[in-house]
Amino acid sequence: MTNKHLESISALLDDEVNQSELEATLQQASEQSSQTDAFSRYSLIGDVLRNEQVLEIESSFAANIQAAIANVEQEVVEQSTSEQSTVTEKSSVVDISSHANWRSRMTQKVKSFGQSSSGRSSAQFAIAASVALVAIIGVNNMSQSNSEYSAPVAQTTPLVTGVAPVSLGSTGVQNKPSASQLTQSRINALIADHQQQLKVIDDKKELAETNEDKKVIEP
Amino acid sequence: MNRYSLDINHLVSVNFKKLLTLVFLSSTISFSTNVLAQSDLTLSTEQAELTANAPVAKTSVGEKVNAGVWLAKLKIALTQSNFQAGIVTMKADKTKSYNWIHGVIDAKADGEKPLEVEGISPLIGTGVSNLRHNQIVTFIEPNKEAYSIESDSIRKFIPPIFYQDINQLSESYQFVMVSKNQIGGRSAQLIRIESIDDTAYNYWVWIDVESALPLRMAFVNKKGEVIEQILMTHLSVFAEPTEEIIKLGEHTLPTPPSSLIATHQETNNWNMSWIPNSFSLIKSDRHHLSITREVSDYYLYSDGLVEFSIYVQRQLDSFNSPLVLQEGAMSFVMVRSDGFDVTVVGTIPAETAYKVASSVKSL
Repeated sequence: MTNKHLESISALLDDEVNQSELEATLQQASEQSSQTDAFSRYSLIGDVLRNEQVLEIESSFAANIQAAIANVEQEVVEQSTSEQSTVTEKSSVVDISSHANWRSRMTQKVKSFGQSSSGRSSAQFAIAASVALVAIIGVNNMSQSNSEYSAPVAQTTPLVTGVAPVSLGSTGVQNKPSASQLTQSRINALIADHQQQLKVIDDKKELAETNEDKKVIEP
Repeated sequence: MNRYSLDINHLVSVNFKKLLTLVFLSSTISFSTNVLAQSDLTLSTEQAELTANAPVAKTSVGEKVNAGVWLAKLKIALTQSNFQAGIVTMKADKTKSYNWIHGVIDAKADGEKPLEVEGISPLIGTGVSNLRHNQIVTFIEPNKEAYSIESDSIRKFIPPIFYQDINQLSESYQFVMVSKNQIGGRSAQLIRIESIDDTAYNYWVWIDVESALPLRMAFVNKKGEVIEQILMTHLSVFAEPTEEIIKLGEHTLPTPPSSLIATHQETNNWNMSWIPNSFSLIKSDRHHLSITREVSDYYLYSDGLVEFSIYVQRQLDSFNSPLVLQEGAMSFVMVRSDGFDVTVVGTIPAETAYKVASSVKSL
């Protein structure tokens, strides 16, 4: 497996490392960004599997947006995200650890770890497989409980959902009647046709008028 | 995670808003400077106008100033003066704004008619713009080929009758001269055009004392409530046609199709047992509605100021008769009759529309 070096992180999150491994892993993770990324991904996967957190926007997606914004207008970013900037610097570890569930669970784990005499030995080799399992179970979960996941999926496109309701809301007359779509389209067609007819009537009026004028002049 | 993504959202929207405000600000700044420059101009030109022979009709000494005289002045101002104005129309909760420009360019050669130029374009967005050269009105729409029709006015916010002999209305309306008001710092004479039999709305027009142009117009119902109105937001009157007017006059407009080719295929299938006395039939035919391709027998009635259409169509499966909609002064009434649906659309009170619709019987 290519991500064998990430096993230790997976093990850590699965509560299956001993004290020295824990320290080593944390040390390693704080030094390499790829490791911290993996840390955040794995913990997220774990959370989702345990139904403790609904799947949110991928952190890299958010980071991309922020990077793009930072290029456009530096000032605003700095002002209103003084808090965030620390988050981005230290990357997702801080971010994830700020999640209440995770923190309480982690502290609990670390405590219990000190008390438990031995790590479970069988765990080590199961880890690589668990990563693959996560994907499969994750997919199953998604399709089974659609309603639960539909909302957060929509949130992954914040820009679009933010704009759409504005343009949809401005349909004027259409909101008023409790009419079926068929009736609605007839209403629209009739109103449009009425306006269209009005454009043309001046021609005829004019003709009538000029005729009248002539009549007036002649006698 | 959640908080993080929210903040990103917030950030984006802040940026977006800021950008919008910037655009808006810059546009208003340029707009207001324009206005300022123009109002300076206006002052001087108006003074010049007062001393010179103004094109605006002045009542000759001894002539009794009544509502009819004001409306006659209005027609002359609309067709003979050079001006540029901002217009806002308020229809129910919809507001539209237009730039309105009008001028008369003197004939270049003897024997030629002077060219009357009128342009109306929406201030916001790219809706339909109109350009009129004398009796040719062109419709300019984005992504569509421009086309012309023959008409002596652009039917947008000024009733066409104001460009014609207002006395044509005297059978259905009476003209009442009321008080003077201030509108936009200008003195305005209110003329009420009142429906004699109350079957139509009353139309009030505030005429600028100085230029005789309409500063405000409103459809008013029986109770005296304003239900739709048109407001002039700024006005610049010029003694001579401005560069812009001359430019508009230089455009070549598409020729209108020779009218009256597809004329009366009159339908006599229906009998309207009640039409308000003041309204008369302008035309009737059978045609397909352009959107739904539904076929309809069609009748158009007018009282000179406003119009309404009657459509007789096959029955729709599902609607609760009567269906009554109202937007500003426009009413829409659809009634289920014996084997057919009757719809009345037009600038008339819903009660009148309903009475007309339910009076339609098959012969």
